[in-house]
Order: sequence, then C-alpha cells, then structure tokens
Amino acid sequence: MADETAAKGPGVRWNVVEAIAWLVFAGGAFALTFNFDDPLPTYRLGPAFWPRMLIIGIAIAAIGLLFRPFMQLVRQQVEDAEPAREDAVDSRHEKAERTVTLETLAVLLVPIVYVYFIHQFGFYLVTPFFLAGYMYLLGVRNWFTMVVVTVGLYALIVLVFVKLIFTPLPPGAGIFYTLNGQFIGLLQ
Amino acid sequence: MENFINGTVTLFSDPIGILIFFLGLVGGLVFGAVPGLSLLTLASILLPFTAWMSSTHAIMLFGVIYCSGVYGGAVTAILFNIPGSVENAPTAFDGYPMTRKGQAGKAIGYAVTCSAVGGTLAAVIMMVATAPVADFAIRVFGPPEIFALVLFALTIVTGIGTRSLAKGWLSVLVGIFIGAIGFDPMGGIPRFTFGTLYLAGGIHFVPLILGFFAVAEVFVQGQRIAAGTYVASKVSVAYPSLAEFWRMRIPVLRSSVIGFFAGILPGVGATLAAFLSYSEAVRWSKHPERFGHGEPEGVVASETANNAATGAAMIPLLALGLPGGALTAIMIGAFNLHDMDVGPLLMVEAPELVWVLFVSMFWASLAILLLGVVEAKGIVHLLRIPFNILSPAILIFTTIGAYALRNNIVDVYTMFVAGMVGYFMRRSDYSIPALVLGVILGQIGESNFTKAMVILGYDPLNFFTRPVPAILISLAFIMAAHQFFRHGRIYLSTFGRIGDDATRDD
Repeated sequence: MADETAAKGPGVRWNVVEAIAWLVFAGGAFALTFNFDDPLPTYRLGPAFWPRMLIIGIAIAAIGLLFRPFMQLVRQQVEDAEPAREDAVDSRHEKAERTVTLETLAVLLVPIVYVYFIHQFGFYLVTPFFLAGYMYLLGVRNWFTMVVVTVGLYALIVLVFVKLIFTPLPPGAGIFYTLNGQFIGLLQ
Repeated sequence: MENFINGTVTLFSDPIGILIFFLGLVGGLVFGAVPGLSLLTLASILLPFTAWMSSTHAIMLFGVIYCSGVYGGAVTAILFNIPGSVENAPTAFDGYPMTRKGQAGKAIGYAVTCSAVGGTLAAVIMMVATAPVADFAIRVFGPPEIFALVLFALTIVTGIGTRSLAKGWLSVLVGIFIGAIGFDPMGGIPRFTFGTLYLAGGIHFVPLILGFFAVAEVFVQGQRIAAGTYVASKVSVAYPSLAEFWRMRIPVLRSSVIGFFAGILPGVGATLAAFLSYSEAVRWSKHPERFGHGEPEGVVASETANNAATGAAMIPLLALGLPGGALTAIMIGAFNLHDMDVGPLLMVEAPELVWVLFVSMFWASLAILLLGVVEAKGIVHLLRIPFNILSPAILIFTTIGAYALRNNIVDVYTMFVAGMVGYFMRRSDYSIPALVLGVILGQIGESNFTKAMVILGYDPLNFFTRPVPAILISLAFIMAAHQFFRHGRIYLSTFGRIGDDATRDD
C-alpha cells in the first residue's frame, strides 16, 4: 500500500501544482478587478461584482482540487478489478499518446504558424501549402492524393466562399494585400 | 383545421411555391451545416431577393430555412465534432462520441427524428395557441426568472464529461469568467481587456466552440496518428429501431416542452433551449455518468429542444412584434419589404399569411424527417475519408468560420488557442461541455442578473419572493449540495479504506 501511494506521488503533486496555479490565477484576476470597481449610477453593485463572485468560486473549487488525489485512489481500486490484458493495451496506448514527440508538437503548432502566415501573406497564397503540408505531417505520402485533394478542396473553397457568397478571407499585408486583392478581382 | 388546410393548399398548389420550399429546405441544411456559412448569411443573401417574390413565398421561405438550418448543424456536430451553429453544440457532446463508437447512423437518426418531432410539435402549438402562450411567457418570464433558469442549468452540467467535482465547477466558472471579459452589460465599462480593442468586444463564443470541439479533435486524433494509436471511426448506417425511439418518448416530450418555452424568450431562444434541455436530460437520467461519452439521450435532448425553439420563436414575433434573435429580426425586414408590420394586428390583417408561415414550418419539419432519413444513410460515408486527409479540410473550414464572423484574424488565433486548451483539458479531466456552457449561458446569466438586481432592489433574498426563481434557485442549491455530499461520501469512505490499509501494514 505504501508503494502504491508512492506511485501516485507525481499525480498528487500535479494536483497541488494545478490548485496553486488556479489560486494564483484567481488572486491575479481579483487584483485586476480593482481597475473597474467603481459603482455605476445605473447599477449600484458595479461592474466588478459579477467577476469577483466568479473568482471566489474559482478559488473555492481550486481548494477542492486538493481532495482529488483521494478520488484517484478510488478509481485505481476500481481499475485494478478490470481485466489485465485490456489494461496493458490501454496503458501502452496512453503512454504512447502522452509521449511528446516532434510530430506531436508539429501537429499542435503548425496551425498557429498557418494563421500567422495567412495574416501576413493572405489566405489564398498560403492555404494550398498548408493543406498539402498538414496532410504530409499526418502521414499521407501519396503525391497524387495530396495534389488532387489540395487542388480540389482549394477550388471548392474559392468557388463557394469567393465566387458565390463573397465571404471576406484574410487578405495579407503589404504587397501581399495587393496580390491577394488582384487574385480575388480575377476570380470575381 | 380549415386554416391549416387552406394554408397547405396555398403552399403546394403553386409549382414555384413548391420549388422555393425545397430550395429553402436544402439551402438551410447546407448553410446550417458548414462552418463559415450560417443561417444568418443565407437569410441576409435572400432578403433582397424576397422583394421580387410574393409575400407568401417570402415568408414561407424564411420559415423553411429556419427549420432546416437548425437541423443541418447537427450533422457536422455528430460526424466531425463541428457544431454548425451554437445551438448544435450540445449535440456534439454525445453525438461525436457515438460516431467514434461506430454509431454515427444511429446518432443522425436520433437527430433527424427528434428535430422533426420537436419542430412539428412546436408548429402545432404555434397554430393552436400563439397569442395566449406569448402573453403568458412575456408576463411570467422576466430577468429574475431567466437568471434562475441559467443558474439551475449551470449547476447541473458541472458533472458532464469529468469525474472530478472540483474540475467540473472550475470548468463552468472559468467559462463564465471568459464570458465576462469585455464591456460590462450595464455601464459599458471594459473588464480584463488590458487596453486591447479585441478583448473590449468580448471573446466571441463561435471561435471558442470551433476551437474546443473541431480543432481540439484534430489535435487529439493528429497526435494519435503521430503516435501510431489512431483508430478510425467505424462506419455504420444502422438506424435506431422503433423500440429505441419508443424508449426516448419521455426525453422527447420533456425537451419539446423545454425547447418551446425557452424559444419564446426573446434573446435566448434555441441556444438556451438546447443547453437547458441537455442539462435536464442529465438530471433526470438514471445514468448521468454516461453523458458526454456517447449517450443517445444527449443527442435527443439537444436536437428536440433546439428545433422546438424555432417554432416557439415565431410566437413573440407574430403576436407581439418581438424578434427572439437575429434571424427573426431579418424576418421582420422581409415583412416590411412587403409593406406589413409585425405585431398583434398582423394576425387580424393578414391571417392567411400567418397560416402559410405556420403550415410551411410544420411541413418543413416533416420534410426534414424524409430528407434526413435519406441523408443519414448517405452522409455517414464521409467518415470513410481517411482522417489525415479530412483534418486539414476541417482546419480550413473552421478557419473560414472563425474569420468570417467579424473579419478579425484574432478570432482565428483565439480558435486555435482554444483548440490547444481543449486538447490539454481532455487529457486532464476538465469538462469542455461545462466550459462552453459557462461561456454561453454566463453572458445571458450576467445580463439578466444585473437587471434582476435592479428590479429586486439589490436584495438577493427578493428572488425568493417570486415563485419561479424561488423554485429554480432552491433546486440549484439542492443539486449543488447533493453533488458535494455524494463526492464527500466517496472521499470519506476512501479515507477510511486508507486508514484500514495503514493499520494492516503496521
């Protein structure tokens, strides 16, 4: 039992870290409410009342988070009763999914880079590269598939959003703003 | 009955009318389903064209697209975790997990049937009792009642999608806190904006929903592909059996009533209807722990209520001239284009037109059932597209959806950041449904709380002088206390077991 509790150590510590992080967040947010806590002529409680109630609630829930390790022990006892083979497979999957690899980071960060690029270079210029690149990142290696999907999807988006319903899409900045504008002009 | 028959004959005796009816039906389904397109976009595009139509066709068209569009958003919510509109978000809570379990056909089947049932029931009530129902709802439901309703709904959802009471509450409260960023509803004072113009306008919930659901899903599955643990959703076209539908009769009836009454309330309508109905389904269920993990009743509750709300939204519009939301406001424009003022006199001056609207919504709801059955058999095959090809497409469509909202690139950043937060929340047992519900209902809740406090003389105890808030707030406290003691009992029993083990070790 002592070993089992020790094995839960990082989980317990993580809960404490989470609870402290929430308490720091609550403290910071509460301090910020003093920037707008004057009563209003139309509303005596003022604009800070509602956020303060929420922040107090967040702080109470954060303290409640400290009780979570005990809940984890209950769950552990339940999981111990489950068939061992399935546990082993799930645990392997879970471990593999929790391992942060370069690919994992790329899956999360490439879309953010894409947004930065469409802001700078415009939606029309960057999107085909993103479509093909993200497919490659997720393991598509057939060039024919990549080209057909990229061209087909890009054509569909341009047809529906630019040609038919005139949806404004990020035009880029500087010279790219002009280039994207000319591209839209050509299409319409 | 005579009015109903006359309205039906007027609607279907004219080939152009039939054509407009079906075009509206398909248009609503498409615009409701694709992020970046919305019913408002479709209504805005169509409004100028209605000037060239007869008044009957124009009003019928709006009624039809309203019905079919609300259903359309359910399909993408179920198949790809992308709610077509906000009122379809609770459908994704259980619809998408059903798809992951290989029950996409069943989920769409439930959504289609319940959308049709909810819409049809609302249309029938609308035909029978527009004036008295509108009068009752507007008189009885003021800001204190709406605030109490929101508080009640929020208390219930803290247990959805998480095993931790503290994390459930944290998710809801942080959601409400996000909703409080921006100008305060009474004085227009900026809060937590750090001097930025973007935050002053508040964080819009559409990028958040797209981020927490669709983008987070792409990240989770993308990581599984990278780790080699990805398992594709099984494609199944199995439709729910009659026995399965029959088991849903009580949730359908309950959600229809909730959807109908929530739909009448101006400014909240289908969104509150869907979320409230979902949280009530959780509360009444014998297995609340199944919600958020693919419980069909979650899909039933959400889709029945949001479609029931569409019919109900017509009641204050037609009886009192009060639009319940942006789409019904555009409908007023359509009436005005044909030299008509919406309000109590409309029922007297142009009853045939009002009946055409009622009838078109009734038949549109039934047509959804037929169209939806065909669609359900076909559209699930989209799941056969490999996820590594589908995911960039999902990210592009959500990017367009977030940007088209306000033509603001920060909305797109917000969406991707929400996607990353959603990805980590899923791994650490926080509740995404509770957070999303907090953002949406929190804004409605604060707005009504401030008005209620002014009305009640700043004394919170005065909430208990009105019957509806007194009941709802008391129930909310009882629910919260019940959750606390239930978790407390588990904690105490665990503590006891640890003590026993320690004694044995010694």
